[in-house]
Amino acid sequence: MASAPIFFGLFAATAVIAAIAMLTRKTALGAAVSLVVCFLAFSGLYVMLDAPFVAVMQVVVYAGAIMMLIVFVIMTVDTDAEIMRKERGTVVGAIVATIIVGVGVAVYELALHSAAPFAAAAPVSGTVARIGALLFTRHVLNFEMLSLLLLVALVGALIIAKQPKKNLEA
Amino acid sequence: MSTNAHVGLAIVIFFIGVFGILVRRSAFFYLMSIELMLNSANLLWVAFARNRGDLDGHVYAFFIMALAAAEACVGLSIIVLYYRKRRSVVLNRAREMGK
Repeated sequence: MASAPIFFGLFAATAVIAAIAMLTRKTALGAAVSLVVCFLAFSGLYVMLDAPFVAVMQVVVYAGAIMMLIVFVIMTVDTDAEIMRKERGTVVGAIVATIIVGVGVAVYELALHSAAPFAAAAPVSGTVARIGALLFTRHVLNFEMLSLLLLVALVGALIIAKQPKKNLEA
Repeated sequence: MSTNAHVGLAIVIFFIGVFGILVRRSAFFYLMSIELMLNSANLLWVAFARNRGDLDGHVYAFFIMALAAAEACVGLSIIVLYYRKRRSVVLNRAREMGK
């Protein structure tokens, strides 16, 4: 693919810009929309990495299910004005975050940027059939545990969110 | 593109997520920053799966997505509970949740 670097740059820039936009939005709803854009860019990256199954799952699960759930709760719990009013005193957080980001960039520059590129094997396309075969042979125990985890999360979320009114008296 | 470029992108996205958790105070931004960090981990799985020429990384990326779904589900229900109790989603006094 001769045009691969151009598309990688396009998707990577979209992902980074959307992620930064997510942080700087005033309202949670705007942040959620930015995050959906970021997830779609990730999906494009997965397509270019020969991972069509993961790309489709990225759109369906992340951009579809998870973000839909978050947007739904944001609209139920609409406190955007109050968020911005109370959101002060984050200067210390910003300083700490800048230091951590600096350390991360330094680690990347020292350890990876000058290093030789990782030697690549012949790529295998992650089609649904191949992933499915792996999922039900080598990773079948993980798969079953995951289904159990989803069930526990479902029941746990119900129990947490459906507290009776009398338990909520502060 | 080389795996190095994907590792670099994953690091950048991960630290944007860390930045979000440290700077924003709203519970929604916490949750979305965590999703961002999980996504960068996913990108690493897929990039190294391609690098190694096998598909186990894709399977684990799928597992992480399901894990993120479970985490978002429980996290959002905690946010709803916190809001019902405090009429706010700002996590300055979250330590009072246990009382």
